Amino acid sequence: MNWTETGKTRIKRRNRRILFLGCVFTILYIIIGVKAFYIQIIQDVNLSKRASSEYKKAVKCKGRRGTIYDVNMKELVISTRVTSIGAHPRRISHPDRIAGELLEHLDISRRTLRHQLARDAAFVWMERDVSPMQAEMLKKLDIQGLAYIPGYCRVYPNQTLAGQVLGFSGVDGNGLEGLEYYYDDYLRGSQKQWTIAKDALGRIFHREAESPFDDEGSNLILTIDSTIQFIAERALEDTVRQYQAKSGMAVAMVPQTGAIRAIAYYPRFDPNSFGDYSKYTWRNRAITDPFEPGSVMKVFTAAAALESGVYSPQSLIDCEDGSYRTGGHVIHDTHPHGLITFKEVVQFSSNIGAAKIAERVGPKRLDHTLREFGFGEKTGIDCPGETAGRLRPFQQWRTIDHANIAFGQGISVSAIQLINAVSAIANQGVMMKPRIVKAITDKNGRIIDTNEPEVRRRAVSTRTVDIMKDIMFSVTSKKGTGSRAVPSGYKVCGKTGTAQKINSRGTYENCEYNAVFVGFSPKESPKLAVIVVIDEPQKAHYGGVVAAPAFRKIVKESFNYLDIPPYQGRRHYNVAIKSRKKGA
Amino acid sequence: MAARNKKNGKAPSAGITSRTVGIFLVLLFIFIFEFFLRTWCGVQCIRVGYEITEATERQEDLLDRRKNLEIELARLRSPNTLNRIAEPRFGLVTPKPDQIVVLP
Repeated sequence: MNWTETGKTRIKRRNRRILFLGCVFTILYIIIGVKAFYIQIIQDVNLSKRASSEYKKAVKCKGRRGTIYDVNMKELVISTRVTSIGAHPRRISHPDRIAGELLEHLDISRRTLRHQLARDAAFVWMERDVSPMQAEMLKKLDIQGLAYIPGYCRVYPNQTLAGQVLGFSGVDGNGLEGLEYYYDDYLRGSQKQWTIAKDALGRIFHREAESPFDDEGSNLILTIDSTIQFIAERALEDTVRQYQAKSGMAVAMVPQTGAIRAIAYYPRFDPNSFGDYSKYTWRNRAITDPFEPGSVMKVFTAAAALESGVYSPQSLIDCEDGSYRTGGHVIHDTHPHGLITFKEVVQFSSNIGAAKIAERVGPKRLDHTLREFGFGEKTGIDCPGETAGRLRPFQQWRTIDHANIAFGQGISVSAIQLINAVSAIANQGVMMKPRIVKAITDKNGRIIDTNEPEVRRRAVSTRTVDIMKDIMFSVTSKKGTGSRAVPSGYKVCGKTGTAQKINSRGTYENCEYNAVFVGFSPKESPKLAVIVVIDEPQKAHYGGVVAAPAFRKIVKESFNYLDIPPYQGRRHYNVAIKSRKKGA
Repeated sequence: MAARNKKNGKAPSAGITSRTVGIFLVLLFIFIFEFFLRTWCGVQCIRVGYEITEATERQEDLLDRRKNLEIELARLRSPNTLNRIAEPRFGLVTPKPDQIVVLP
């Protein structure tokens, strides 16, 4: 009985203990469950963020900038990956020792290195855009506190070729000059954000782009032909050196399409190291700088006269033996002439003849024709900073202004305006919009935009054009002022110009000139129109002496490159095919 | 089953217990297998992640190398370089018009 009671009591106690433990475990499980619910459900997002922030990192990188090609798809500008070296000076304990280690790998002096590393700053740049090899060498040194920031660098493999046209971009990848600036929105790669996951050793095991869009910029295909550009630049350099000129520029254009094949300027600059050159050399002066064209304007004065119907090529004009008074001023000719024909006024470049033609045509008609040729307005070429030149409304012209404009004084034009106007004559009177970019493609080469030839307007009638071509052809004949512009075997239509430069006081300098030659060739079916402007030549200053030979060189070499054969008249070749009959 | 046992007034049989244990063990095995499978998948995922990262870096390096070769090629093909070789080394010049024969 006792045993039974004792046993029951023991069982009761045991059951109580079990119940107690059960309750304890239940409470513990409830606590764990509640905590798990709190962690997994309520704090889920926050804790996930905290955890991922430990091993995940968002990395922003700028996309590669687009490539610029010439018309034959030769690369003119390419982007390549580089690394910029930075440092966190507060994390560097021995600046002197680290400076010593870095010295042989970076192109910085020991003093600058020490100064940079000892600065009280969170971050400093050590050297921008080092080569991948240099960056690898530095990484091997395993220096704590150095930062390696990847990026892209622009490379201009042709160095100075077309430097002023291409321009350059800054360290942040933004276009600053030239086409790099003008087409920056297309060329610039978009910023792409990556999320990378790293393990405890810092190795990346997962990488994910935030947006699926392409980060590379678009490519530009230019109308520029790098070979013609080179020919023009070399001819210009030779001329500037030969005549000890201050500078020179040349533009080559296809008259029928408005495609610019070359815009050369000397002195040149290398966009790879643009900081080493004067800002004066960066500008694309054929587009941005106006100048007085001189006698070249006689072509357009003559065109206005022919359009008005007042003159024919055989009309006679008295050139007053070299001195003529008009509007209270006296106009002189370089070589005195008496009674000469309208055609000879242009051929011999008579200022008096041009002034007399303009007087008879009247200011309104002259102004109208000049504006039809695009003077006084921008051509709309796709380059930054284009000038409209200066052509005052004819109502403001005094008598002397009217006479001066007829032979290219009191008016300013840009080289691109002048070549575009002459191209209109070469193109049967139809003026095209000059263009330098042919197409824009995406990174895979698919065309996304094209710049088709665009007609601006008809400047003059075809009848006037035919006469003007004959007159301009006579300029390059043996008697004309531009005879040195003719490469053997080709017919050239052109006009010389020698313009006195205006100084800062607004008066003409006696010994500072612009020597100009503008023309096109071949006469019958013009393939190329070229202008050459030489600024302040010292040894000679006439356009026909200084600029015309440069024109000849450019045309001759370009035509050879373009496979445009010289005119050879009739040649007969006797060709015999040898018989291969048996026994013959 | 418990109701039937209660109805029969008998204690739970050893066979039913072992069946329950068997089911329990199978479930336990499935859970453990799933645990290992998940772990293996996670490890594989990270391993493939490393491989993808490595391959991506290699691809980028190769693309960079190609770009650098393109730059080198463009530099070598530049008219200035060609002219420097053509004129002084080989004596090449632009032909004169009378040296050009146009075949009819």
